[in-house]
Amino acid sequence: MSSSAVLLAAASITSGVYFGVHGDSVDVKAILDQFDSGYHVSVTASETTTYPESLSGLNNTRNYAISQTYGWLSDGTSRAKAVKDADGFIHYAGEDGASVYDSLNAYNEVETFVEDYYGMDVLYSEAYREPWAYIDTDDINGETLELDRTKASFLIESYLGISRAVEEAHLVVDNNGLVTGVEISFLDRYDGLEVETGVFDDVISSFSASISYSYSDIALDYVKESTNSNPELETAFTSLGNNYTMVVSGNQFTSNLAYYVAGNSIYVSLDASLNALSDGDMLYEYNEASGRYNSYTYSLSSDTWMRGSSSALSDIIPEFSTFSTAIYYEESAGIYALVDDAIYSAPLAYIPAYYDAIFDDAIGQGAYATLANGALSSLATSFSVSGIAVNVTESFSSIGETTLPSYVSRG
Amino acid sequence: MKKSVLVLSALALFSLVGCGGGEGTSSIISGSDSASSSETTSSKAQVALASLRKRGHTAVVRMETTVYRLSGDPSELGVRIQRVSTFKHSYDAVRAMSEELDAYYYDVYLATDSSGDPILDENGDYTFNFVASHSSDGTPATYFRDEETGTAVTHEIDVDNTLDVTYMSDYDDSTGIYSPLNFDVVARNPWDYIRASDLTEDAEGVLHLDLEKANFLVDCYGGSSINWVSDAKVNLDDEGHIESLDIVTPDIGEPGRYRRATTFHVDYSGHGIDQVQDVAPYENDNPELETALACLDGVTNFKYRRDMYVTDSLTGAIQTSATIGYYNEDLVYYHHLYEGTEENDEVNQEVYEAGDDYDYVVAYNEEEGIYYAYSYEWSTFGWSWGIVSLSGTQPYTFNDFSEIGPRFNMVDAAVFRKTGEKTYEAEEAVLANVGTYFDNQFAGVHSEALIGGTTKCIITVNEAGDAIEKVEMAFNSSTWTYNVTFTLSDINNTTIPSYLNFGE
Repeated sequence: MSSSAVLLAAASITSGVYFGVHGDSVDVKAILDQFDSGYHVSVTASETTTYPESLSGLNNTRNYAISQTYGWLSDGTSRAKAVKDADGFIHYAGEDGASVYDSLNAYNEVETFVEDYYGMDVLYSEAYREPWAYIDTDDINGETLELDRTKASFLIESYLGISRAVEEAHLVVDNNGLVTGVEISFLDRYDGLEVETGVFDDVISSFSASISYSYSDIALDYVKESTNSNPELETAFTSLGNNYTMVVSGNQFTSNLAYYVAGNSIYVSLDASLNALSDGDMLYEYNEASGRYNSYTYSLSSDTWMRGSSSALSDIIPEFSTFSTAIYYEESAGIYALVDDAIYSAPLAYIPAYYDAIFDDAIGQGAYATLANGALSSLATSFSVSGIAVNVTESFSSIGETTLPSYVSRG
Repeated sequence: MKKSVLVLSALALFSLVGCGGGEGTSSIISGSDSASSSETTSSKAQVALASLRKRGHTAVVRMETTVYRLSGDPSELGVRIQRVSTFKHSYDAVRAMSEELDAYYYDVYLATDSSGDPILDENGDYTFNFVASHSSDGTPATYFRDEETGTAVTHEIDVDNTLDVTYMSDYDDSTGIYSPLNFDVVARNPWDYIRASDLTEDAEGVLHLDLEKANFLVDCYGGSSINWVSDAKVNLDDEGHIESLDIVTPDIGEPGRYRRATTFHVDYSGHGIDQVQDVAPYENDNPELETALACLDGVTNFKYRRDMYVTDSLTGAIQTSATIGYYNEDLVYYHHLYEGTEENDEVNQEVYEAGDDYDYVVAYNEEEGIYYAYSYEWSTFGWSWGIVSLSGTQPYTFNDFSEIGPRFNMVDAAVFRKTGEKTYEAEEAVLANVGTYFDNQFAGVHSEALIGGTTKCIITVNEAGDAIEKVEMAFNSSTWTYNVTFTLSDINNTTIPSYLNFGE
């Protein structure tokens, strides 16, 4: 079986040398200590599958990339292993070993989320295993800087979840004795394609990878409440009170919804472009006795409002005036963006309950609040929903002046 | 311990791999994270680790997972799985691991009284009944590291006394591709991934394994269903070698719904001594047997009798049967004998008509140049010969005489060791697969258990030393033990019985 020697080094490691090549020796233990302290790793990899000539149309290349920081979180009394991913999330192990990460919610509170995959908790030690902790001094030749092939394979397996046999691996060490990369060549894998019973054609799978390390800017911190002060934004949020009009639009929505929040009554038009009632429109009326809102749904065919169950205000529309503005920073004049620690959780709080089914497994990506003349003009949020980018814009108007449209009446 | 190779997206949350770690790392939380490699590790830890790291040894792993259903509904079954696995690691000329698995499965029933109410113990907790629903003896497996490819391979000696190397592979049914598996994933010795600094000594001088590594170890030993590890106590023998490992795994569950309790313990032995046994072609010199195994080469006339003695280990029931195969180039006749009778008894001087088994004929069709198989069965018009079909209307045919009878000429004499003046016994490495070669290819024992399940195969050569006289075999199927004896006779002197009414 032939092999494909693919030696890739990131640009940052081209100045590195094999100490051992010239008869020098490095302190392998010091290298491992460095990794124990924390590091940033970037891995890019490519897997090329070559079919027999008659099936060459199936040839394909799959690329992989990760960029993450391995380090430690400390609360002053104890420390925990942690990984910061490319999106800025810091993953660490919860009490039962499940991987968790923290995010600020819309109230500037730290919330801890347990990661799951199809309902099963993700185990931190599996998903974010730091492979150098599994490598010992006798796995590295201090003279040649050759890394044991099994452990080199383990590196790739831990970073990418891909198991490949390694032909040869060497550490690349810079002049300061820091490992800046690992040059690995992988053995080609000869897969078997059963073209007819018991008859196999070779499908050749070649793999290459580049691993580079750096050690600056690797400090990790638990997510903490934000202390930002945004008095103008806070005023704008609280000024909404219980009287404003909000139109909700989105890149994945077929129509815009309009919320007319008029004190004790809230009318929801399912088509903001209409100046008339439409089938399914909703009306909520505050019931002082219960402290909840009675709900009614409009039926176009019978031209009647049908009574539904009562709802809490938060089940109808976000209570904007209660949200914290400390989780924002002013990106430019009148435009406020969420701080990184809040982008996962906070945006969901801004979406009305009507969209709950759509946003069931949404991951927040960010939010921008825009002011105009000191009032909240819009709130733009973005999400990843099952891998699809969903952007939602809530436009505010008639703040303090909203009344129900004249055509909205239960008779 | 077959592992799957999973291709995952670049930013996937999982790295689902063999030894991917267990379920939790409480040390991370408690702050008792493993010491830096620069920290001084005790010589005790170093000696202990050196006894298993990159060193041959045997590990006997005992694990148990029990899921109790707590709903109070007797119809909700829990389950208990007990597994005992023996892992042997080798670092000699070739890296290898063998694994032998015994597994026992139980259904766990909520204990109830005659009214159907749960029976509680003195603490007010539910009690349970355990009913063994299944148990199995695992098939021993040995994996070797193919140094050229890094893949896991198995070594077997074929009945022709050649070494057969087979790649372990993972099948992707979406592409139809078999991918060889990496040995280092299939057969990890977890101690190769543990540092001395992962072993910390408590006030009593007892070593404890870092919990992340303990979870990793549990996973390497196939303990994916084991709860997260809260303590891993390392016990040493007088020489400071690791003798056993006590893993503590707190119960998990939901009140009123279920509770999952697990146990995990490992015993180590043979430090630096035990090695995985490899196989190599045998060098037995058996010229007489070699001649005997070739006694049917080019021969189309002989008698081959099969006697079966079958016992049921559960009921003690015994069944016996005997069939004589009269082989002739143009026609082969399999005559089933009435139980307890012999070939020449009067009752057997006609085609068998008892209905619990059939007589068969394989006859050459000159026009088509192939053989057809027939069975003598009762039909609307009485007893008659009908074509045997494979399925539907597809007749059972043979292209050549050599496809009908035994094919022991494919077996090399060297895979047998001489055990008596005229007897030879199959060597261990080929025993499981050798039985089928002595069976009739048509109307034989025809048990899949013979392929990979032969437990005995003893050949007796005739007095002249030029032919096989008899072959005594055994195999197990379900609870039944089959003892089968084939007797070869009348080579080139066999006539088809005159009472055979085939073709009349």
